[in-house]
Amino acid sequence: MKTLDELVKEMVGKTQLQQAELVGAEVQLVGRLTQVTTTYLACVQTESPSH
Amino acid sequence: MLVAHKGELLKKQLLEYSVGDGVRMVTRFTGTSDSEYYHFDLVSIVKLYTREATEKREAEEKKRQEAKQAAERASRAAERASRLAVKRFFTCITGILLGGVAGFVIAMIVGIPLVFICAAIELEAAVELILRGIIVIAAVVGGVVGYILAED
Repeated sequence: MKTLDELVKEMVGKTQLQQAELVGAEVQLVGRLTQVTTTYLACVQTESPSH
Repeated sequence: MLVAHKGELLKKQLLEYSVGDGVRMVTRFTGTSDSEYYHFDLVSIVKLYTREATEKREAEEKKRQEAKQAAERASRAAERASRLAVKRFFTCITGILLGGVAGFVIAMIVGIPLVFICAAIELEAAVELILRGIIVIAAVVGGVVGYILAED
């Protein structure tokens, strides 16, 4: 499983078509929720808490 | 970033989440619409900490910072007061010494001719009085000058 940073690094410099190859990859996100709706969540990337 | 949570099971699980909660999510990348926004589907989600816990931690951190700043301010104030007291002490001593010397010189300039005059006309009591006066004037002038310098 990738982290968001790893995914973003892999996509840098690639075309949309090349980026499409990464669709379906599992990514672990750690963050704080900034929005919760009936269909999606929004979050900001933060450091993992110490506790 | 946006994370879509499709499916009733996920939606039910998310009822216990609110804005401000810290989470760890396993997501599936679904594509990017532009260079800034990435889109994912939610696979699973785990709550790491609640918004209330974050607020409590931030409040405690703020309180600690304020206490630390207050202690630093008090320490700096005490240090300043200490330096000022030492400075005033030495200024006062310097002033007393300088004033004393100045007072002695002035008293001598005025007193010595008087001593000779009194000695010439055989007024020995006056001679002793004038010599004591020189010492008193020197002490008084020294004290006054020292006080003025320390106050400034």
